[in-house]
Amino acid sequence: MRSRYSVLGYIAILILVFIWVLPIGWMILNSFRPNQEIVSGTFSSLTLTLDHYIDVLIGKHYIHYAFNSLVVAISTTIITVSVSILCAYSMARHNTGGKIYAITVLLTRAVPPAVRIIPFFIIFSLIGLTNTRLGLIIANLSFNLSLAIWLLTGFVKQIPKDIEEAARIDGCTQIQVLWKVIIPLALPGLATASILTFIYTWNEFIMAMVLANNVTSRTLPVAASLFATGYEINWGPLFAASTTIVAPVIIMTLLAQRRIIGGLTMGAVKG
Amino acid sequence: MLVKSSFNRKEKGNNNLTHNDINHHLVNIIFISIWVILLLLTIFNSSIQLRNIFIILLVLWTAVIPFFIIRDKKKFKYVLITPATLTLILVSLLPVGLVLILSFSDANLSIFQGGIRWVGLSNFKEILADYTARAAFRRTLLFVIYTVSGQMVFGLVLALLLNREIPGGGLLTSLLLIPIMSPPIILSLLWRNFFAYNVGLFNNILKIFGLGPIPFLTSRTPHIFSWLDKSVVSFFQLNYGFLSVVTMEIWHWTPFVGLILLAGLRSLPNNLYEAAKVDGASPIQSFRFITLPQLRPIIIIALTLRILDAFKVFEPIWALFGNSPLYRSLAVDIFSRAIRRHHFGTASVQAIFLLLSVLILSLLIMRFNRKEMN
Repeated sequence: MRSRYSVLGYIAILILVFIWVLPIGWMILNSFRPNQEIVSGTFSSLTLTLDHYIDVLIGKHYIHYAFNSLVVAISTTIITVSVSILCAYSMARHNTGGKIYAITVLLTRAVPPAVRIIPFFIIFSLIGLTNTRLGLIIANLSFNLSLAIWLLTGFVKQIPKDIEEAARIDGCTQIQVLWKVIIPLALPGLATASILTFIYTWNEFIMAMVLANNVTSRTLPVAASLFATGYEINWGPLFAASTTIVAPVIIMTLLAQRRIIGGLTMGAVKG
Repeated sequence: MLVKSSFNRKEKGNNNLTHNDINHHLVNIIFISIWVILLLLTIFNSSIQLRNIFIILLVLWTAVIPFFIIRDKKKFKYVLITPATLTLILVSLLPVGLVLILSFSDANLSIFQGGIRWVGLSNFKEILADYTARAAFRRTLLFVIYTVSGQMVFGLVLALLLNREIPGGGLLTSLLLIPIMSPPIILSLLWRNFFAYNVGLFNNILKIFGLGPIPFLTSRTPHIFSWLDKSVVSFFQLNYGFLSVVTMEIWHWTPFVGLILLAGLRSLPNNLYEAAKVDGASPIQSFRFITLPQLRPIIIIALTLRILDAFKVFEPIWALFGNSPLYRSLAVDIFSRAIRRHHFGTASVQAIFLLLSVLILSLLIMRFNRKEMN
């Protein structure tokens, strides 16, 4: 009775998980199929081709957009993590700013991107930051900073105070304590914050569409959305482009599964 | 190195304190004047590329400067939060403040030539009377209710199913993470293919079973709701298009709820269940009287996160319907008003409504959580 139940349960889990895996698998599979096969709805014939990838990679500045995405995501990650570890250390150890500061930091995360696009659009247009990667990096800081601070505060709080005090007694200055004790011990937290920031920035769409919508500054998600304008959608190249955008995310997710789940649930438990 | 040596110098003793103080003041003046020069160069610079470089330098300098200027060890903690605080003020608080100010103006494209007129509360009146804006707000609320309730139910089922020792459990959870971490716009575009009328995956599958194509992305009412009154149907947005987005969103975020609840389930103490088993409780009873009450805090947390996120919904609706006024959520309507039509004033009013809903909700829930913890 018991074993049959668990076999049934296992099958149920497999089916459920496939509900979430199949659509993405379908996208990846179809990025290798010719357009007629994608739209025809025949599931019998299966011709595999790399045409769509060649199309995407050669035309439409794809490489440049990928470069933009990468630059924006990496710069945002570096700035976010380096700024927030300082703040998180100060908040975790000295309770700087008290509860009000902590709640303010948390609430800035709740500000929806749709609210931010109005002032960002106006200010960036006035000072000439629209359609630049720099502007997009600044805009992306706004979402990620408070999450990173929040995550890292939790991580720093877990580091035992004794280690820090021992280092102080051994003659470390405050900066040395931070650099030689806290940062090495908070490395798992830094990794989590970096991964989450990178992926969120890589995925970010609305800011990128508003603030960086020309050939020189466009990022990949916006470029992909352009495949779907108009009535006739060219599904093959869209799927190929989508696959290249999702691929790094999937790889990072599978490699850093533990950290991401930890980060998500930790943000949840504290939030 | 500079910082370290300066700290060491101060620790050495008081004999040459005056000398050091003068040095510090000199250094401070130099640092601050560099900051002012950078600021001036940034503001009065006609070349955009050069100005961008100066902006970067200015930002870096602003971040670094407290380390050099503030040398009192007790104030070191304030030095550490300065860069983050300044950034948060610049990219979060100031923009929100600007939105508040703009909501009282009739700002449009002429704002870039310096033309702006203050119109008092007329933007608020206009938005409250505007049909599209009101519909967008109602639609957003309904979207939150539909999607979040679906996600919570399915997420709980998923968590309960995953909460056991299973071979390959780690792989399964990481597979579930993929949709959570994937770009929402890409997944939405993928589902646009699934929902497409002639060539879509769902209609192709239905064709195999001999069922007619379903217009997933239109405002037609499904047959199962045809017995309802028309006003009810339109009030609750029971049309194919909206329900399709809701389905997609439930699919997208159920794993998120599931994984959070799973973390909660794993942290529950086992002895409660053993005690219940000894007392002869059925699995349903132990779920009802142990799991649910114990899981309550984490359920509330997952609920909060999903509600806050669902309020911001943009990508799915944009990808499936573009700028169509029939399906706009609040965020899409703000985008359309501000960026497409440059009505910054009225868009700001909508932005304030969105912001207030989200902020009030978060504050309420924080309060509630604190009570719960106590």
